[in-house]
Amino acid sequence: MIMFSIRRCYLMEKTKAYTYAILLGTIPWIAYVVISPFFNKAEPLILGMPPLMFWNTLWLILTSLCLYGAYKFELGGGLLE
Amino acid sequence: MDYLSSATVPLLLVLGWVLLSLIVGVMAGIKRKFTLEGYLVSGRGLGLIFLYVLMAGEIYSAYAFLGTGGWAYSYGMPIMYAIGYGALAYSFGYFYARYVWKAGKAFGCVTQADYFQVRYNSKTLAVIVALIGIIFNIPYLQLQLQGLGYIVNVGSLGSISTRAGIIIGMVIMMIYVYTSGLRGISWTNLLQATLMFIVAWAVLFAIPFKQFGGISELFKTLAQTKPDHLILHPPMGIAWYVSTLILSGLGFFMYPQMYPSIYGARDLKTLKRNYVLLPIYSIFMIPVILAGFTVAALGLKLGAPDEAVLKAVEITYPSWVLGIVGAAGFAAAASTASAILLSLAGLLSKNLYTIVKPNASDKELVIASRASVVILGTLAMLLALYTPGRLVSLLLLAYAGMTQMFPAAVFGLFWKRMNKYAAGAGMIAGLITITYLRLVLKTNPLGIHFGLWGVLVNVIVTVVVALVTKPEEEIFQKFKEAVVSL
Repeated sequence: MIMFSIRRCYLMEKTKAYTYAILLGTIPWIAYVVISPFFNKAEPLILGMPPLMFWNTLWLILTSLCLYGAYKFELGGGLLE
Repeated sequence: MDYLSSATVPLLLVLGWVLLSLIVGVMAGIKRKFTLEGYLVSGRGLGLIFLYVLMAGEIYSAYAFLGTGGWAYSYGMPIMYAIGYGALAYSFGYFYARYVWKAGKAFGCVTQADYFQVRYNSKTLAVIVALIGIIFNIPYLQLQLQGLGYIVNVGSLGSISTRAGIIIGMVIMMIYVYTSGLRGISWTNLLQATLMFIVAWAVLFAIPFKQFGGISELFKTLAQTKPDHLILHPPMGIAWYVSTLILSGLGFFMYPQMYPSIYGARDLKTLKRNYVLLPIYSIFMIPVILAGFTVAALGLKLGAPDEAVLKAVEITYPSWVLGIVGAAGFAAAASTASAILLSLAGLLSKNLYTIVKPNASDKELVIASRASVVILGTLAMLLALYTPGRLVSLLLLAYAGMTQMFPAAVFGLFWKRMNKYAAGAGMIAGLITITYLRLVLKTNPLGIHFGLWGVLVNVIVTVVVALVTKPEEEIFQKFKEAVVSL
């Protein structure tokens, strides 16, 4: 009985870590699919680039960061063994 | 004579690079005795660096240099979809690859079709998947070779003809893929991915600075010469952009060459770290796009849009620099083409040859895989030499076509009612839809990418068939325990 509840607790931790990781993984989808169309303007130039180009480039870096966060959650939840 | 002497340096650069690739690729496996697993998925032992260059190299093809710059030159902002979908694909792949890798480990999968076979326990479905992969990717392989021939021709200042480029490129690839399998590709891609990255940043990135004095100046000029280039507008408006992003983001991991590289990862940590780092590599597309924009802003007229990047180099640098770009073009094409070649060879031997000979031994399958490398490579080479453009209609369908495997690949992970009938019916319904829209109707309804309409029909058919047929829960449970459970 105790063994069983320990296992359940452990599983809940894992599920929770996985859920957070997936939430982080959806952020790039929102940034590109939902938000980026609003940057479809010719001006202002940001770092020399039109807004859409700036946003899409910036999010390559931010996508890496989101996935790094997901990796940390999964690692902490013991999901990568 | 004058012409010859000016072409000597670029020629040596291109040929030197090709030779180096050959040596490294062959050395990687010449002294090894390969099992099928060792040959097709490098014995599931790739560490982070080899996995990273393998995937980065196989993802960015000749198209990354020629097509991306060409699109920026002729259409402008719509090319931003190419920057976005890589990031979307990696954030999907970060999660999806876990299941593919675990299925590989638990059931010994080495090809894309193997993955579908273990989930649905159906040889027929595996055959359908293998056939779809081979039919759509032979023309893709052919296109890579044509791009390779073209870029080597321009890079060597015309001293290597396009046809000679195609033959040299394919023969070199066949030799090292035949000898060393995935191990050879990961070693050569270490060279190729590095060169592509260096050329993009050291050669292409400087172009707008040399021509205009900076990136802002480039876009200010572009706003005057081609104001439409700065925004998305129909027919490639927002509906097109968003639907293409979604379709490409989802379809990415349905390509056959993605599977062996995932199986090849040493462990889950390595695999996941790889996806964390891949979006950073994609930034190298920015210099390529800027080079395309430069040619557009200068108002230059090109014979074909694909010449844009090479034109930008030609007007900015002394002619020998084209030799480096030619080598990078070879690198881009070869890193992708060799991975496609091996993955198709795997499908042909492991999933189709075994129908004829179900009890083939491991040793025999390695021989069959190697023979398949030669057969498919020669076929693609002959197509590239004698019928360029003949298979364009297949190419137009390729990305949308591969994406039709998505519902079967993903619903099968979580839905116990999913069975082989639903998977197969959905795929076929999706394929019929895209073929009809692209080749008969010839438009994108509501401006939404035709491939996404295919996925929609596919999902509906998949769900309906899954609900009306008998679920095969035992098969699902076995798969779930080994692959899906956390």
